[in-house]
Amino acid sequence: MHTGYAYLLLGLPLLAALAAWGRLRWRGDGGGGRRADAVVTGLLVAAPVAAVAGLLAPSLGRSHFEPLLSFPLRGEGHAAGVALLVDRLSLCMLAVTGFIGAVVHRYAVRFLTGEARRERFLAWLVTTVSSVQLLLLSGDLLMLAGMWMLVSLALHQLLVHYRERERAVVAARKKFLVSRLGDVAMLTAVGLLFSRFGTLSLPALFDAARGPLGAGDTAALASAGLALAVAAACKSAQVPVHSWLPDTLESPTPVSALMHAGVVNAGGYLLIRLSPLLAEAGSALTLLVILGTLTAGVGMLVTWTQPEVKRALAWSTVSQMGFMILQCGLGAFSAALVHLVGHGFYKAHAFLASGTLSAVVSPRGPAPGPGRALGGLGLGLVSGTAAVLGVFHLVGWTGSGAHAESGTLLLGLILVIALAQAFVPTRAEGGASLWAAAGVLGGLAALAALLTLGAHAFIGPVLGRVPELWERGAVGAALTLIVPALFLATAVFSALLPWLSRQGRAVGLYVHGLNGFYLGILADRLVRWLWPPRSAARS
Amino acid sequence: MASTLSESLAALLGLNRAVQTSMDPGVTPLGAPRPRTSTPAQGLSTEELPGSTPPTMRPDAIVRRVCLAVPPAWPLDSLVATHPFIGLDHLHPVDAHAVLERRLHAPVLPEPALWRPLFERGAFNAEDVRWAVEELRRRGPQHAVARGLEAEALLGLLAGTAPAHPFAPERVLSMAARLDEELGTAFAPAIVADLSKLLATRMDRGVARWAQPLGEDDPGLYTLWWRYACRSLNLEARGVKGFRRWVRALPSTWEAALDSLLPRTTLTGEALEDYLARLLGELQGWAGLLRGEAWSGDHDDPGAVPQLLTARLACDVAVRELLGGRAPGGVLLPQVPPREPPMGPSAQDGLSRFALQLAAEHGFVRRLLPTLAPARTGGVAVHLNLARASRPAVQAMFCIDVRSEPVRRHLEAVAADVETCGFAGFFGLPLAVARPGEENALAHCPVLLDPAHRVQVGEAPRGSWAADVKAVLGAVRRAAVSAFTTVETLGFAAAVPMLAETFGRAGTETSVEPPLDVSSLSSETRLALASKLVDVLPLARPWARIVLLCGHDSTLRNNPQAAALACGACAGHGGGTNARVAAALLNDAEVRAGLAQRGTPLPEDCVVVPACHDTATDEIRLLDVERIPASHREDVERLMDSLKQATAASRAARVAALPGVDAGEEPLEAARLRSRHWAETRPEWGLANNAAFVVAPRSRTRGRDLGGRCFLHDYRAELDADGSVLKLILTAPVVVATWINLQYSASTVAASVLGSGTKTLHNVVGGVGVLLGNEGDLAMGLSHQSVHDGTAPRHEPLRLQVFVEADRQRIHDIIKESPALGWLVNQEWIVLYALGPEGRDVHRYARGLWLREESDLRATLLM
Repeated sequence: MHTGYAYLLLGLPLLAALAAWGRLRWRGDGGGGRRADAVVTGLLVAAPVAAVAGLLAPSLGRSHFEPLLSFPLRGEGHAAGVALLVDRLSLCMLAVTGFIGAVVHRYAVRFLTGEARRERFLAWLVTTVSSVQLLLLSGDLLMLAGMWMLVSLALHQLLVHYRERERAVVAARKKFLVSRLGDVAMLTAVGLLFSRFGTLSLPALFDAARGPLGAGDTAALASAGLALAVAAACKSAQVPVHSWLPDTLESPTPVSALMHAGVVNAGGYLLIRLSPLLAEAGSALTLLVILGTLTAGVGMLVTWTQPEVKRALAWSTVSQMGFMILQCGLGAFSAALVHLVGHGFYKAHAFLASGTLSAVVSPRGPAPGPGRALGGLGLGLVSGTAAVLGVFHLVGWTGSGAHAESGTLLLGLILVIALAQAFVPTRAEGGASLWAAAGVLGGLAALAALLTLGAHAFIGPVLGRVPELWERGAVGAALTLIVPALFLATAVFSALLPWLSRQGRAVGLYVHGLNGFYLGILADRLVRWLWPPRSAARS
Repeated sequence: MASTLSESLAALLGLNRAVQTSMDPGVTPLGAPRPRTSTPAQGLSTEELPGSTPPTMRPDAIVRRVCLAVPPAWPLDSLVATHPFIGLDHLHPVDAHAVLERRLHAPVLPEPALWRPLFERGAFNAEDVRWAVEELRRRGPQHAVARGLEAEALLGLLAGTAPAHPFAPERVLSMAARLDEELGTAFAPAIVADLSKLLATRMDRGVARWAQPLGEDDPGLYTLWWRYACRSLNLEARGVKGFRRWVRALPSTWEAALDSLLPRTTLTGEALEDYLARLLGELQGWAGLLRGEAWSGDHDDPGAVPQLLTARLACDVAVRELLGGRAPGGVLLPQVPPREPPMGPSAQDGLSRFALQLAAEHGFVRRLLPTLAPARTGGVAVHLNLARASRPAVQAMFCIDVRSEPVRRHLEAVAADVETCGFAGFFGLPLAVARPGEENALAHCPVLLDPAHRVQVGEAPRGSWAADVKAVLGAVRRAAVSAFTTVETLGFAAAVPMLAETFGRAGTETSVEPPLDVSSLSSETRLALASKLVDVLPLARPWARIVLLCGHDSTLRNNPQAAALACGACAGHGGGTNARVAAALLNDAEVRAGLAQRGTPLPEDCVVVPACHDTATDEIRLLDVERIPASHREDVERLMDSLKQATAASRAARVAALPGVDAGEEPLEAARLRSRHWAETRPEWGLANNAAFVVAPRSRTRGRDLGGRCFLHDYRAELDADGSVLKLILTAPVVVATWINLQYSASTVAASVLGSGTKTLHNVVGGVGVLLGNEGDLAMGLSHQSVHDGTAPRHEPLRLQVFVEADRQRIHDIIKESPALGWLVNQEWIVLYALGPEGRDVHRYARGLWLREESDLRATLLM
């Protein structure tokens, strides 16, 4: 039963990719083209349906490890290979990426009608979706690393769809180089773990990490953790290797939707999946906290300035991924999963609907003065805190014990601050009464807290538990104060933003933010120097 | 010389010179610039000659002229056609072609390959090509003959047997672009992207949460740029070291900066003009929007365009002064190739392109003319209108839009007692329509006019608890792009619309139109507007029992350029509102009494019914039906039945022309699906393939299939004693239609420069426009998908062929009096024909002459 289910989950993406390449036989919608598209969509839809069935049926959703192939390496007992790990975590992500993949494919079939190289594009699109799904199913680090690379290579083909556009080529190459950097980090981690533990099978590695650890084991886990952190940062567009993400708008809209909702997630998934290995990797986690906070802050500042819809969405992904990486760094892996899922749905929809004027333009109302803005923020903090505390109280969460996840407390604080930020515009736009705003935002805060706690109850068993930030030495203790303070500062700045802008203040910050703090430009120069575009391709 | 030419022409061809006039002194033979002698209504003084620039011309005059050559553009919510060659329409297309190739690197006239499919399917033939060559040779031996324009060579190009034209036009390049060519850098696109970004922040209507703080004191575009450039490290990070210090040394006003910068380009006269036009051409999308801002006040006000030019020029001079040393030879200069002699290879290339243009149009007109001839049954058709036997049951008024023609044709076919007629779809009402939640009232009239009357549609939501929550959720959703927590919680909700939009079937939602409030119009205003309507609407009197006023709109989803498919006469908005207002005015008892007093009473039993034609689905919906009196209900229901049948017939034909529609698909389902699907890029073909404009009574075209390619404007010369109505038609709707025609052509022929590229890369910027991909200039014109089905263009770039049933002398007088029309006609941007009451009495206007088209017509009739 379980074996059959695992094979089904493996088979659907493989069949979808196969069908997508077989579809190249027909050009356009003629002949069997349309039917072939329907078959591909059917297979793509079947994957998330199967995953949801697994999540709902307790018998299917139990963790299951299915070894497929094993290559003996370096003698007896040392093996790596292909294996599937089916559990609630992989099923959750499979359901989301499968859903988004199916929607994006269906969208692209219509959207690219009449486009040159459309069939090839669709085939690579499905290949990308399928390799993400295989990545999610990987039960062996060798397979995971292989899929990790395949995703980026398939995506590269989508990014150079308009190869005659020089900007598209340069952006794709930027992404390509960052991905290879991530590959190096990934392979380093794989090599470190394999040489120490002699296996790449995930359950075996998790067992090893849980068991009594020697000094060598701890060191290997710590350095592998660092390498994994770097790999995740490259995949999830963390500052300073983020600038490929806002630059890759040079390919059709469905690619952006897929990339922002289904591909950048892979970094977060890697960390959540391997969280049992990270308990000893305190410095890696602290690095993630720093990178995540920096990325979230920079991303948010830049997002605020961008007047182009897709550009703002792309920078917002940078910022959101920063937040997600921060969650991982805090050890709040189930919160990170909730974030990945919610963000995936939100961003895929936002990109696909980015041509709807009424949804992307929000006329600016009068700017509230500093007193009113800060008052709004304060009220938001109060109503958010009350709601979150209420939820904690209701579910009996005490901050300790088996059902407590690290980082939840800190995260609850940040969550309230972030939500309070949304309170200011709702008050500034007028019309809405104080009570409605407080009620809605309190409700949202409660919902977020419930989702996070619920997610932890749901997938907690497969996650690792890492030390709280403040338990990780002096740096950790300092960050425990600095990170929420930075978020609070951002929230205050955000509340004052309309007023500041009306007053002509913070002009320097605005100008540099508008340009993404020049990191992308410098990266551009580097890419052009390393890999000069042919002048013939210049548009 | 001109008159001898025309005389010899007439003698040579034995053509009737129906109207003997001395040639307009402004008309010179093809290829030479025409001095502007017309009234300075367009604001250019005679010293500002196009084409050639006197070396003594002052630089500020050159700057002004370059800036006025930028076509105005409009923001997305009122995206209507613009004249893409507005600064060049005093040149002949052949000359404009050479100028545009030099400056914008874009053609005006299509390359021969574009005509090949038309030729192959017989839309025009070898005879047409020969006719075109002859036609050009007739104009003056120094052109066609000396150029060796040979029909056989052109036919070879069409057949693809002759090698493609080896001609590559010489192009003007900025200094930054020169440096990029030499070093393989990307300074020019970087400068364009940087300026573009700044302009986007200035024009932003609320995409960015952080409103640009540099210009709160409204300092003018140049100062804005200066403030920005003093701080931004963008160009320095790209390698323009010392840029900020260089900018700080610039004068503080744009005029002074221009004075300081222009001499540093080392260019003067026409080279300077070409160079500046190139610089502005790199940013023509934004420049157009700036021009559009100033347009409604004064069509000759360049607005902030000169300031933009100053900023762009400053960047280019900065590249020269800061990086010039890296260029080979150590000196960097713009590339401005010397202009060709009048008969240079550019002109030759343009002339052969023009010959094919003429040939293709000749093929079209040759087929259309017999259709426009009155019915064979003698003069009956003509007189039908003058002395009608009976009053029709219904008079249905549609917009002149080419998409109305098929519906009208089918409506008349299914209901013989319905008379249709065509008029600009804003029904003569210059309205500003205010809607709740929108800051400004939107103009519902052509961009050539200013809206004068404000009406309100819909009510602001009341302050209920549910509305409160909705408002908060809306604000949170809009802020979601920059808030973490909301994404996690509200993000899940996005799965539902994604599922519905992607896999859902087309719904049949029937939206109830929001209440209309015309109380803002005083009773005098209402009577005045109604009187005007009664005077201008070309409905035969007495008006029928039911008068249907049918505006049009297009239901589209997720399409930022949707306004381009709505009613152009209503500034890119739905015409239904104008129809509703017109009906409300004309049905008003007080107004009726006033009209009777004025001597233009409407029949007591006449009820005006507003309607809206959804051009995406070809459905016609009657509006404000609850206001129809019970006495008329039954008749209106019959009309609705007829409309249903008529639209079903026109829809079936239209849907079949959409790409990817299976033969088995139900047309209404197919149309609705495409109109409401969020991934659809070709919901309808819009005005693609528009080619002709007929100004005549409907009897001239009734019962004829015009293929949805004709604008139809009703006109009865006998009701227009002083010619003022004709003048209005020729100078307003015809000019607007010409803009539409040229916009579609330019987007087809010069897609990469004058079209807005592929929709797959569209990135809405500031809510005002789209750009392609990451960055760069605002895209202008229509998208690739709007004019191309992926394998072939769906718009045949024919110039607008205008047929007017009116006295030739009167038409000629109007051309002479209206410079804007005069340029279009005399410089051959459109072709004008006068239709006489007799079938064969067709004359073509040719530079002050009326040439009888009899020979062509005969040729057709013999076929």
